[in-house]
Amino acid sequence: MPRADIPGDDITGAGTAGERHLASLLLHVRPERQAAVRAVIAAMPGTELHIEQPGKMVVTVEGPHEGWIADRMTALHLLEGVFSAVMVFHHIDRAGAVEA
Amino acid sequence: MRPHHLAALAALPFLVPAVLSAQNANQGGPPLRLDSPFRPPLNFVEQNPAPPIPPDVTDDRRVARNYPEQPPVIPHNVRDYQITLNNNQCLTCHSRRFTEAVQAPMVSITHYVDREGQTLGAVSPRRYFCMQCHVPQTTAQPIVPNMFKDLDTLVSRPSDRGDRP
Amino acid sequence: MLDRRDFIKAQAVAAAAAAGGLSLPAAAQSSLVAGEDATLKWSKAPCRFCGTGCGVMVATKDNRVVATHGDMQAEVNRGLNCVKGYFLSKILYGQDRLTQPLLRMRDGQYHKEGEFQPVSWDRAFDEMARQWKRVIKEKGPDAVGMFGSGQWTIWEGYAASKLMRGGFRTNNLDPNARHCMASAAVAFIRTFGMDEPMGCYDDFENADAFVLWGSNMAEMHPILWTRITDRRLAHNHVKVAVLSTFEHRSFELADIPMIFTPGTDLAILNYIANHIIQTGRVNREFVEKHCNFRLGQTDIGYGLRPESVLEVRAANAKDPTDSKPIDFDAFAKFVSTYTLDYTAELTGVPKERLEALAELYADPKVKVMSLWTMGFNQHVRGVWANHMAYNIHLLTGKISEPGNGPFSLTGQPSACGTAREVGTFAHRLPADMQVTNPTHRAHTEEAWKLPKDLLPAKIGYHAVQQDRMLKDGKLNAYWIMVNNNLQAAPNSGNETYPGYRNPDNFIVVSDAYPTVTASAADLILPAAMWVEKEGAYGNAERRTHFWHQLVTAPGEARSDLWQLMEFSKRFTTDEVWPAAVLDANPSYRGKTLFDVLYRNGTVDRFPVSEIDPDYANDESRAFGFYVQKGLFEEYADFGRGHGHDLAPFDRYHQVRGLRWPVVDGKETRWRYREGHDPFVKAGEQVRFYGNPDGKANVFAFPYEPPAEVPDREFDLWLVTGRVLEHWHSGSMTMRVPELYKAMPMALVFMHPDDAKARGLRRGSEVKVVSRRGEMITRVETRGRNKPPRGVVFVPWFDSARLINKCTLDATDPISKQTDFKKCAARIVAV
Repeated sequence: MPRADIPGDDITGAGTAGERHLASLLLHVRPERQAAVRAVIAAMPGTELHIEQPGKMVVTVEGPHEGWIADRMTALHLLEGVFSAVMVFHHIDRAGAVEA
Repeated sequence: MRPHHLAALAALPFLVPAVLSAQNANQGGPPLRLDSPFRPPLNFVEQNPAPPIPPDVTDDRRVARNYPEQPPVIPHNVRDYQITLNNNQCLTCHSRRFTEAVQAPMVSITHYVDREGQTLGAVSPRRYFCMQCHVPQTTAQPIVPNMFKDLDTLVSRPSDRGDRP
Repeated sequence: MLDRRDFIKAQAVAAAAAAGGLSLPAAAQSSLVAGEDATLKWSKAPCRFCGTGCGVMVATKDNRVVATHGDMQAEVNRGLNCVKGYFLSKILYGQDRLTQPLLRMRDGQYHKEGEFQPVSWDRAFDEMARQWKRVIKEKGPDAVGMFGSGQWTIWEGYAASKLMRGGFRTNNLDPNARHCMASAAVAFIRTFGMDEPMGCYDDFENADAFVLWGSNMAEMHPILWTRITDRRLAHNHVKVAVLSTFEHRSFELADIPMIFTPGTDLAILNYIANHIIQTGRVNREFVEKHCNFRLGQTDIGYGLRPESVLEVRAANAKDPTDSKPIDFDAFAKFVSTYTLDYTAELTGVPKERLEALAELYADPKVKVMSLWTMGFNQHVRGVWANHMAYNIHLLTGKISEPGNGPFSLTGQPSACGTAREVGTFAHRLPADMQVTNPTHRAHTEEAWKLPKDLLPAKIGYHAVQQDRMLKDGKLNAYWIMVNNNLQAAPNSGNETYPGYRNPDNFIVVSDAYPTVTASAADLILPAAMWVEKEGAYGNAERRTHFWHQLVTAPGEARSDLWQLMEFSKRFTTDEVWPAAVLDANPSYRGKTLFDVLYRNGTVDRFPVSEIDPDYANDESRAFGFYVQKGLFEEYADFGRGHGHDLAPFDRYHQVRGLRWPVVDGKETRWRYREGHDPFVKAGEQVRFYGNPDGKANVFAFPYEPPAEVPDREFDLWLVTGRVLEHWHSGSMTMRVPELYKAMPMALVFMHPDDAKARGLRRGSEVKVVSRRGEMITRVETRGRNKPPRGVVFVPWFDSARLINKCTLDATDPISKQTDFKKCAARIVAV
């Protein structure tokens, strides 16, 4: 689609130089699929598994723009055995500016 | 610039679980049995006067979600907000490039994903009409209480109740 | 010491852990939920509300629903829900859930004027059976009746149909879908010989133009609206036309907005047909091969009581369905009077907009999808309006292919699946069969293993007629399930309430909540709802989808299926079947209706061991066999091989629904089109195989005026409908605090100048008054709905403000569906 068509928003997919995005995701997972999901997370650049218990995982994703993060979130969501991948926290770090 | 968004900033996503439990603090007991099962008006024939139209809640305080997947309600005035083919007034504060200036929460990046699961460079058109999911609240008080319990309330031990930040 | 990045990351992790109830590895976890406690079970289900049929994922914990979200894998909605869907978790938990049967009693006995008192299920069914037997003995089977629902699960509707027709031997069974879908269903059968749309939701991603005929999809079908929005905003050539009698949210996306005078949509449709013909854009080959032309009966009345002056004056009120064959030229001549000038004058729509709309249909390069719901269906000429929409698609051949098609949307989650496919209308049997057809009855008797000539041939009372017959004392034992008809029915103060409180009548209401309807009943039965039972719904695109029981119903609440089947045990064939039938079939003697209807060797053939061990199934445990599977498989046999093919039961528990006909495991997206529909043979290209000659019918009908128009005394059009936040009568959504607070009361939306002219302004307390009744509310002049001068809109979700006391019980004479969109009212200050 022509992205500039969305009135009031802008083209952000390319990212802005110097930005870092960090998000945390909460995954609900079928317990028997957890090992497979863990392996995918380990192989996915910018993602890190922090906490895990039967049926649930907390994952952080870091990257240059929100598209990067959304891509990973979608990829995780669509994995077999993943019921949901919900973003709980999203932080944008703009070259030195502190806003958390 | 919408200065009233500053209050919202104080409650970054961080606070979500805390407020979540506070909201449900008085739940958990057995449902009360009403004398009559019917809420006002009690029957078909009765005709009540109409209460005044309640005002919208505009305190800019974020309301906790019942579960992470629930769309947050709108804590500010949206009367006469224009959402048309050419203009979406919600995005003039909540889109990425304006959030720093007005300190409104940015649209969740789930909103960048299209129907095919592809991430776009901007908010997906399918998410364009914000108020299909996010609704303002009036000050009206529900006639019937709701006994839904969020996960925190459900699994917490009685001694935990009320202790949480 | 943490650096800044680590600090933020720790915050991120803590927030996610807290939101999900996971324990943090570190010390600061005193307030967090941990370990096994936090394990959730996620299962799929369809949404409980409208006919869109969104998929949701439901999380349960300790026998409670704790979260819901849009199912990413559901084709319909791909992860999205509307605001109602996102709050599904809370609809089960209104504090006033009904948990035990309540019977009106005085001095320990049932009394029509008694107070509601809790009783056991045994006591409740004893009294109910006593009343049913009394009425059947005194007056015969046609004095009992049932008002069902497009919210019944498929097996509930099927079990009810068997009980009423095969058990009590009456066709006095009608669903609330009569108020909702009857015009669409009747027009489908009259045009194509088969009910339900040829296309599907995949048309949204393929069309170049969308025309909303009286539908406000932005509020009523929000998720389908996201698909139109997606298509429109991402493709500049796509056009959206929105037609309505007042401006509403769907106009926000409109390229061609159109406000027309109520009822004149008929003229616009004929004008478009005329425009297509006059500009030489008829698809001649398609029309010659695939269409017949017919001239319909006119001056057919308004479905009011027969003594009403409007019925007496109408020439053809007694035979509204007649028609005779004509040819294309006669049709062309018929619509030729609907010129641009005439139509613009009659409708109040500017000519350039009418032309722009007509061009969307006439231009052979534009793939166009027409969409409608209550604007067409709740219309005294609703069947005609549906026919006229098919006309313009058939004249251009824009039908049964991706992106091109007329699409009738539905308002209830199983209006298609239960009300229509199962056949719970007063005139229908499963799989589009009709009670008046002896072959259809014989086939049904055989499939149900019932004696020959048992099923009644007389069409039963339709919804509005049921109310009239209750009032007149001809219908005396009445069971209302999963609907709130005292809030929903038209002219309720004069035509509905009196029947419920008629001392001759015994009224039973099964519901999850104490609705207005329940308050006027004699016996209230507490119902299990949504994921408290195993269920199946059929959505507007022919998609059948299933869910498992996920939690237990509160207290003694039981599913409608259990109620129907358990009640059937209280009757023996000797009590309700004619002696002649039993003399000819002595093996049925002495058996209960439960034995002959549900213990018939077909319904009870699947053991409980076939139930998925991960899920409960309270009805099957109670009856000792897998009831849902047995009922579904017996029902599905009606349609298999006939174009209504359903997949095997178990498959539906694995998938996110399938669109029938399902042949060789594959669903059908576009019916009647070679290459898409397995029932169309190679070389036929298109075949409307519901009709014996394979052709669709194009009907010529004129514009005729509504039953009541504003005059000096009642000077405003009153239009009723829904709002985004509440579904139907609000019995579920008004109990969700967030939805209640978003839209707490039904206001009267009116033009600021109309308010001013009456000395009113926003917030003024007013009475909405019609010839039938009144309701008190407040004026809204700045809301989302912006009526033109002379029109007001009032939604009907608010049980404290019953607008249907004002509406008129005029129906389409063919479909018997009420016109809730057009009557005359005045607004006065309180």
